[in-house]
Amino acid sequence: MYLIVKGLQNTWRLKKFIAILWVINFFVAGLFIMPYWGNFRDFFSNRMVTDILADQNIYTYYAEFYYRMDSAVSSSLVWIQLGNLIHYLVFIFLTGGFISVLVVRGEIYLKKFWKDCLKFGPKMLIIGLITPVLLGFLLLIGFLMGLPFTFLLPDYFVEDQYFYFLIFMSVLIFILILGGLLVIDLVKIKIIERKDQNMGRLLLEVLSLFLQYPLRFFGHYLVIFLVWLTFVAAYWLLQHHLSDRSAGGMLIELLLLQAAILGQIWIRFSRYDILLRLLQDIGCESDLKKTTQVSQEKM
Amino acid sequence: MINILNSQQIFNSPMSSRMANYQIHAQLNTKEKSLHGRQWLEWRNNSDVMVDELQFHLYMNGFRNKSSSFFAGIPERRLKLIKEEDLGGIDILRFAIHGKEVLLDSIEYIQPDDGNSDDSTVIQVPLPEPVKPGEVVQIQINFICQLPRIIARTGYIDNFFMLGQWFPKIGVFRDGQWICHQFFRNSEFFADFGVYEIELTLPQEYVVGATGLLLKQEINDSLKTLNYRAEDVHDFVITAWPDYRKVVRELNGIDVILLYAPEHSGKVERYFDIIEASLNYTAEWLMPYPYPQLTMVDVPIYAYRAGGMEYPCLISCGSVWGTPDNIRIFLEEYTVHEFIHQYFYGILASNESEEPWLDEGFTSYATQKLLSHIYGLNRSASTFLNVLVGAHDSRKKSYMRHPDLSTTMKPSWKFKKGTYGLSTYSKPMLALQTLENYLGSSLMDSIITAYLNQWKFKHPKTKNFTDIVQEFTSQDMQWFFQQALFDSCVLDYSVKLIQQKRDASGSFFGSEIVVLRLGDFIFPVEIEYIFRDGSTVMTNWDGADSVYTLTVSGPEPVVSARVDPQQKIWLDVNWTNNSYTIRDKSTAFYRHGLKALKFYQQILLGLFSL
Repeated sequence: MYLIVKGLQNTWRLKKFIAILWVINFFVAGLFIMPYWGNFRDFFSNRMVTDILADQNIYTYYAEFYYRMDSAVSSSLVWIQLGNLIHYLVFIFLTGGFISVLVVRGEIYLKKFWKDCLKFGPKMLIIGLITPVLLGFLLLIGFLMGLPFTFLLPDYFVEDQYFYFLIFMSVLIFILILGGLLVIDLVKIKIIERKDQNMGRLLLEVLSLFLQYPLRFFGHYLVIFLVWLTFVAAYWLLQHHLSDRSAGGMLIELLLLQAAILGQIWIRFSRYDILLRLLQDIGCESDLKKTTQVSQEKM
Repeated sequence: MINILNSQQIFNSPMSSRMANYQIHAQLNTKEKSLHGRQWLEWRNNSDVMVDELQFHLYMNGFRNKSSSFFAGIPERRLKLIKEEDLGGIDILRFAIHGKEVLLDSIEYIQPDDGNSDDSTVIQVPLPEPVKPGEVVQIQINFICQLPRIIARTGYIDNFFMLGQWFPKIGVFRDGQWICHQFFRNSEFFADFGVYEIELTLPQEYVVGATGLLLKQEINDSLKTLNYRAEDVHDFVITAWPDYRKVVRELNGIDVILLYAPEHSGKVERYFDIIEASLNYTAEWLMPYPYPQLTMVDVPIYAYRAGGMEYPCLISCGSVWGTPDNIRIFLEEYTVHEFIHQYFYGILASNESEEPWLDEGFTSYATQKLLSHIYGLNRSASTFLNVLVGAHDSRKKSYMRHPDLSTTMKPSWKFKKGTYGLSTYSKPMLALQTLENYLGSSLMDSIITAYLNQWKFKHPKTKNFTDIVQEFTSQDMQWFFQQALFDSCVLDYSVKLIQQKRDASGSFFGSEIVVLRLGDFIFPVEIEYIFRDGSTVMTNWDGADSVYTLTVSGPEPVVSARVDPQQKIWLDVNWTNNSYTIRDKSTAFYRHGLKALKFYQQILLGLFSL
């Protein structure tokens, strides 16, 4: 728990980088949702039903809305998906610079951040493109691993056992995916630490390290995941209770949303710091120190 | 044959004409998945003509081969999924009339509806002597029924059994001819009322539910024999499964039995709560449930194809493990729908094959009324995640996707793929609710009550209902029924725009509201317009023209207008175009925009994006 708190504290130092990521999120969301807003405005600008939709989630109107706006919504979805892709690639590209700033625990320089983003960007992008494929593969593995357990079920399964089995399988898949993400994050850190090292060799090194300390790595990673999940749940619960329809009320809602996005970026980026500290704890200290010294000399 | 009319009575006096009375001794072989039966039938010719042949339904033969009419229209790739060993059928082993044998060779399979010679769901039996009007004929039939693995409604899966339409069932002789339709996928059933005495033998570990009252039970070694009796019903169903759990409670003087899958033990109270509310509501709105017993069957999920079906005094429902209380689309909606069928099918025994809207449409209408009464209109199906869904929503949605695809008044087997549900459930439900809103709830209630009282335990047709509407409203409502049931007209009214009228000097002197009829369904509508100072005026339009311009003069400009402001016209396929406003809508727009932004920003921060 100490590592988690320390990681969150240290990452908070990088407020301006977190702010950069938030701006990107806000900008991409605002830009790529515009076609949807446009369709919505064209369709409902003169319809009184908008009042009802703004107040309550009544399925009848949504059903009619989506049915009538089918083609318009579909074309908006293309934009929304494009926004998703761009956001994903930009964030991945910036990850190298961010981790580099964490690895070098000294002064924070924006210039060096951008330089490292460019330096490690291609490798980070490669990892970013491999990640969905790897996660898909882990999903399949999780499913296949769960299949033999179906033989433990009765011939004609009863419903609750079926659901328990599905829950078991989901947990299995969740563990595999979280483990996969953990390994990917460790590889990213190692790439920054070792600079020009071969990615395949680094992956093997990370896997061997992970298999030596699986519980320590996974436990910390799970805790930070749960912290993020709790934060998200708390936000959605809080915003659910905001019902003020005035301009002031909407402004508060917008500010709360942006605070929630900032908070999430902070929590999620702190995992790199936590993993770095963990690596230090379990004997990779020398590598880190070496990297830190070299970086400071260059600065 | 035992004269079953004179044996023990459930009711003090018959409620129906009791034209077809059955006594069946049946033995269920749970290993072979077969049922041997000996059936005595007493049938009365209630017409004024001589009858020289009998016709019977052999519904189980719908599952005899994949070229039967039941499987017509099912794509080849889906048919391939049904194994040959999963099919079933029924064979007549002996047929006797007044104790005299009828040569089995003289019994002929007929296909009155589609001429499909591979279909063997209807037989025609020549009579040695014609049956005179009022005369009673006694028939004995021995049969063996090989049960299908449940494909639709009836059959077995593993040791679960739902036995519907399992015995040779005589058709209905009406207006000088037999009404005995073949068994199609969409067709349901039609039979005369009568008394049923069923003696069922099966392994003693089985828990059984059935249409009738259990009068006697005998256990002999590993088998048990159960004696049931039902009066004034037109069908008899049996379900058996060793794993059923059983709860019996008395509600409103009725023994309500719940047979449920063990994993659904958490749903027991929900079942009793909804059925109690339903019994109370229908007792007040329609008439008290007339039978002494009602069985609710909560089928296990692997036998879900046997769920969601109505039989006299027994309904098969369905629930899903783990669904929260505020999702009511399975347990509550199924239960209410099938229970309402006790009235619109059970008591008002319309011909489900020829006029399916009379049972499914009325039931869908009454179901949404009942659920709305209990939970609220926009909340009756679900309030999960704060999204409000009404029981009418799925019906409205399915109808508005293809409102002009089919008419409602069509025999069930003539509906093309995908049109049966929207034409017999959705559109009639919306039409009946529109009619109620047009006439007023109290007048509509009087009409429904009169329809029920005049036709209970009989076989009403569409005309019988429309005649009652005509009688109660003292006006010709044919314009409505013609468009709503007999044609595939589409109803859609819209406010196109509001214009401010100015004279040459630019001074305001009035407003113009343009209302459009976008569909071919003509219906009188209300138009409400709102002035800048907030005052409102309501006016009526006959809805006949395709464009209607309403000119309003006065010092205040009109800022908003709505056609059908109280949303009385449920048949309107697009409610979102019913209003128009020139007021600033930016608050609503930004609020909705913020909602979209919230989801999108969160989606962008997906699990793997950092």
